[in-house]
Amino acid sequence: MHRHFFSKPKYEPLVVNTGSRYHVFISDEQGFQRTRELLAAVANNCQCLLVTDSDLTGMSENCVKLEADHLQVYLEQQVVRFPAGSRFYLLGREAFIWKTYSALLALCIPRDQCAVERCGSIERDVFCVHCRVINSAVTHSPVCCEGCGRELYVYDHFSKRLGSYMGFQVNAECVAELPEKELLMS
Amino acid sequence: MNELLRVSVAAINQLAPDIKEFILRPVVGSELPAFSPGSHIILEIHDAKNLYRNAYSLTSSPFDRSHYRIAVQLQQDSRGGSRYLHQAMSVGDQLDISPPNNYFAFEQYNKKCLLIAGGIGVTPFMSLFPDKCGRNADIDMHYVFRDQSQAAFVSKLRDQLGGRLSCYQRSQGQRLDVARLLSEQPLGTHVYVCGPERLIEDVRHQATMLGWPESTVHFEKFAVATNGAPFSVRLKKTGRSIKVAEDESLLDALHRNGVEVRHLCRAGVCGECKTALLQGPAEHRDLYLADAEKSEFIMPCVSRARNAAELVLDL
Repeated sequence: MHRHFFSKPKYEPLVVNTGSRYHVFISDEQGFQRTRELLAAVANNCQCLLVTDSDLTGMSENCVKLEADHLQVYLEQQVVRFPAGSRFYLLGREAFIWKTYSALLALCIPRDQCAVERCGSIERDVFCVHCRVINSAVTHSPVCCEGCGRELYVYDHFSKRLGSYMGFQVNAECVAELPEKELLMS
Repeated sequence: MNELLRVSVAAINQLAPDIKEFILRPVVGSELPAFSPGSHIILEIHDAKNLYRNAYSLTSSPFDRSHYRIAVQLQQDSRGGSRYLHQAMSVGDQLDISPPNNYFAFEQYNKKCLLIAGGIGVTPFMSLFPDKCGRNADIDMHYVFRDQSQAAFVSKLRDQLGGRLSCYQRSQGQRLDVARLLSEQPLGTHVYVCGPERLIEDVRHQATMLGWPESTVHFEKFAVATNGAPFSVRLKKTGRSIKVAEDESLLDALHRNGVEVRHLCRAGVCGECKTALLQGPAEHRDLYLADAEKSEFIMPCVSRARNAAELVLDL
């Protein structure tokens, strides 16, 4: 692979836009610690949505806890309350931040109003190009697809829309021969 | 530059005391090129002495290609273009126009469109209504004008927008509070502003103060001043020196002297006339060049020399 090809996002620490009047942080558990650090910079004009299915305590007043399945509906209903100059900060696992990003774009929120930062584990979600099932929390390639059972080679090619890497049948002309599993890095 | 189109003036309507509408039909064929809402054309206007190239927004429906409509306000300090159109142009006259071009296109996926027009800056919005700003977008319009002599299109807009049109007549002391208006907008709003520079700067400034992302603030400078103190320009390749008068642009001075520079918008936005600047302090009035480029390039359609200095161009 040539070094100048970038088929996956590069992440840098996100910067809070201090010019904005309102800040919305959306994080999963893995991004919550970093979100807390950033919250300290924005005083009161903010809301934090923590997306987790587990019980967490010790959250501040402006934090709302949501189950993952409820985030989409919550955004659809609540997003109209935020003023036009609001900024969105998405923190957490790669798959989480990009799925949330897609949900915001679908609500007509411009790209330059959203900033992302990947936090925590480097597990990947992998989209099977054969059966279109997304396999969660993948750490090795090839991986057996939960949808069709094919052994998928995990490409370094990321779809922001799907929040997933592309997975193709490994060794397609001779599927009986499997290469050794490799740990996926970064 | 794109090939010019020959059109004839099919009708002239007085829309307001200072504003005339011209309906232009093709001389050859029955259809003019397609255009998107917000587009403009450039008219080539020849009077006895000079050639003027003025940009006018299309106010007709993009779905009707049998003609174009433009609305022209008589400029009190007109160099001649708008005066000639108002006083000398007659039905049946022919003239050349550029094909439509658009630097003020409306985004397809707006949750809400907030339109702000100042005076004759209302024109680029007129081609929008048949298209309704893309899909199911909310539209609110705020239209500021000096007095009735400028108030073209009010009844037409009222028909389209009903209560979503707000008018502000400055001669009656009515003011648009831009800061308040923007602060009341819901998330996903895009603002489109066209009119005098002061209005545009006010909207841009307030939007920045409220944290609106750049992609949601759209503006078209209705008129960019191209005149200023006279200066001279030296062309490196031929060694020629050309004088630029106070009432002409650098681009026009070059053309007057037979030096062809590719150009399109004549408003400092499209980048077509970008020319290498070898020497001399430029007064950059364009919206195209990045700051880092400004020491090496100039947009001759709007920019000039600072302090009447001499510029040296790589031409």
